[in-house]
Amino acid sequence: MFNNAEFLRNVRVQLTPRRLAFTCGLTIGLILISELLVWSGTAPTRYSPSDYDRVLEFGKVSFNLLFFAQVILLVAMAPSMLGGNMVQERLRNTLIFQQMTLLSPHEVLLGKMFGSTAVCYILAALLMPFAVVSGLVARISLDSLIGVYLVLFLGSLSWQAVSLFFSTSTINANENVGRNLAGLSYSIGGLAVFFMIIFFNVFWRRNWEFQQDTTYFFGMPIFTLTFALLVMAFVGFWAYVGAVRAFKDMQLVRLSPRTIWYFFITLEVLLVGWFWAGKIIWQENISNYQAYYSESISALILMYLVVNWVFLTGLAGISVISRNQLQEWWSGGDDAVSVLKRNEIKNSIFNYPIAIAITLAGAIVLWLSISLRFSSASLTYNFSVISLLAVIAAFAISMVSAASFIQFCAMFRFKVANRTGVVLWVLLLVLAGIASGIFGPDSIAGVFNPLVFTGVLIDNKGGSSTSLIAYGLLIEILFALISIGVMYWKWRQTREEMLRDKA
Amino acid sequence: MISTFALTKYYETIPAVKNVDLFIGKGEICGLIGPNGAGKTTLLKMLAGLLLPTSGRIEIAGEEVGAEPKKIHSVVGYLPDNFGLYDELTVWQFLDYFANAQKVDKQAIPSRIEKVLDLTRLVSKRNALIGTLSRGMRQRVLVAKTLLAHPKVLLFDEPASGLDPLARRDLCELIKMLGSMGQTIIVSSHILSELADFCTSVAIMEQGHLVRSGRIDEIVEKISTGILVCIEMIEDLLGFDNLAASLRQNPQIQNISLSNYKINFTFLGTRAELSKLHREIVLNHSGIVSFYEKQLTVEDVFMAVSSHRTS
Repeated sequence: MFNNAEFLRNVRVQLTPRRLAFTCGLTIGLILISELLVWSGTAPTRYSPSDYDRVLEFGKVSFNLLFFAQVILLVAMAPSMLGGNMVQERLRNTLIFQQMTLLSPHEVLLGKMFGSTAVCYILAALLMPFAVVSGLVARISLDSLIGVYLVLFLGSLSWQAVSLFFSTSTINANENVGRNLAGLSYSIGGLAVFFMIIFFNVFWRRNWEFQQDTTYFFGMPIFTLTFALLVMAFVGFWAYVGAVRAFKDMQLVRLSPRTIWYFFITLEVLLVGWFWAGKIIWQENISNYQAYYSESISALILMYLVVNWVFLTGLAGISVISRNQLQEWWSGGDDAVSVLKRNEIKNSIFNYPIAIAITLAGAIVLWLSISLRFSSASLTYNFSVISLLAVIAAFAISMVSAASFIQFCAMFRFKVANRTGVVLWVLLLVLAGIASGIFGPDSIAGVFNPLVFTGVLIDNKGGSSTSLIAYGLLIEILFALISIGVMYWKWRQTREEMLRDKA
Repeated sequence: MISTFALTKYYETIPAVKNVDLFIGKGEICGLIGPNGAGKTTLLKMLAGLLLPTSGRIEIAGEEVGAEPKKIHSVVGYLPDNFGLYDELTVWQFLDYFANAQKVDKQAIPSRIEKVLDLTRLVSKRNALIGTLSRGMRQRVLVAKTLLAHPKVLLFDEPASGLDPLARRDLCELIKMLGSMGQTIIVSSHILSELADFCTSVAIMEQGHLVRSGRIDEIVEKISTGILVCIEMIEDLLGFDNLAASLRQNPQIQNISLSNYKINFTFLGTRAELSKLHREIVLNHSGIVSFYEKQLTVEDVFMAVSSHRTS
């Protein structure tokens, strides 16, 4: 890292020796003053007269205070500063240096990640020995302290990656948007602290030990904390990968389409593991493992599809073919650039059905987890193959409608046409969901929304009539045809416009 | 050194650069001329690998840029029109950062920085904070930064905009010096007098098209139809009108323009005939201050080949 030019530049900008000495001196001074205040605040009283109680109380209050300061530094300030750093490149016209640098995207982004937040890490490191000693005085176990710092650092890195992703993805935005994005970076910092406080409240007991609750992953018991860390690592890793892709895109470096596939594969592994229907539970009385099945399977499969629907709609939004790309598609020759453009467009088009296929494969595996029996335990209902096929077909057709509708919107002349398409599509499905509440889930509005339709099929507990399935699929196909039709009409109109303008 | 073939860039349906075939030899200083919106910046950005063309080919230093513009970032130095610097760094720290970022050999970095500081006359400012420098100095810091990695081609986009006359003269001197060192340079500008001093060739753009390009002397030879002559007179309106009237009657004289007691025209005869005309005018007309042959400037070339839509 100390050979990384970007890291060194950021450190040089922030930490002149004088500024570093002043900040460190001030921090140590503040720590000592606060410790003194805490000590005097825990003076022996009539009710807790012993020195032992006083020391214990001092340790707890002091650890609380210092640890919270570290949370603010690493989880609030670090992501905010990092996001702001990236946005600043755009605002002060230095972005061109980042585009032309010979440093790799990883060198630049890691340099920014640790360079622009170096002051936060240095101050957190200064606080750490005081916090650890306070924790030990408060009789918090060493294991617990290691665990809590693991959560803190992993959380900090994940939120930094999220902030980096947002700021890098939107780096080409205009100046006004850029300023708003700087604000967004600070909001991410605030949001991160909010989540960390909830996290610690959920996982810490009053006696400063981590909860040993278990959750199930592919039916196997694991500590809930371990699973939470896994989710955090997943978010952080993919946010970082997304930031690298956005940075490469800005540098006009060719992007691999496979990253999208890998993202969906890992997402489905995580979701399927999480929503896996069977659970292997240790039985004390018979000293053996027993398999149990959740009674809320319909909710699990619905949640799986909702999460995927969000990501697939987002993918439809970023995969649309802009008017610029269409221009290049229609006017390009057989030179290297035109061939590349056509490949990029093809990748965009093919990534989407591949992502849908991965999602549906995950749904089938999830369904298998419901159907496979590890024990004689019987389910109160049966989610039939026909129902599964209907759910899969409705979901796939609806996602095709989404892509066509968003592509239709993207061919209009205004700049954020594709984003408008995504917003309109989400709005349309939300309205359909609300309407299904009024007119009934098996109304046209209800079956138009694939998630409501899935709910209807699952609630029928395997007894879904063929007519309901046919009716639902017909409505989905009808909407898909309308979306494809308007997209095709706009496609032709755009082509004629471009050919006319060219002439 | 630089070749483009049918280079085209569309912004949606608007062609910013259209079918540009440009060839610039090694060591040339090419002035990229054109009014605002002619496509100069788009062309430079494509040459710098910052913008993908819609179609066409670019070759720089024998390397085809094609679909991977990143690979030419080590051979091209681009100086944008509107640039920012890291104001919190000193000049030396700034250059050290870029030397590392451009993968200059670590051991050679200090000597390389000293050399570019010397070239750009910034030695005395090496420890100054960039935020405290004037616009002209900042421009020189940017040039120094660009020279660190020994680029084969330098692209200047409107380098003199916002500079005072003194800084503008300094910049011209710097570009001339870089040219004398064998550097291939493209300088874009819509202020023609800026380029006249140091350009060895010009490329004239209008509405995305390359109207004419080549060495200035070759273009001058192509567009010259005669000898450009200027006569200056004292402020005598009657004498001025008489002279203009007699010149208009001469069949060997064309394109007469009158302004501020100056008469410009093109003489279609030989030099001996021009000498005879000179003698006649001096003998028959009073108030002549000077009579001289004008050299074609970059501005004249631009006016001759473009549709005269300078901004």
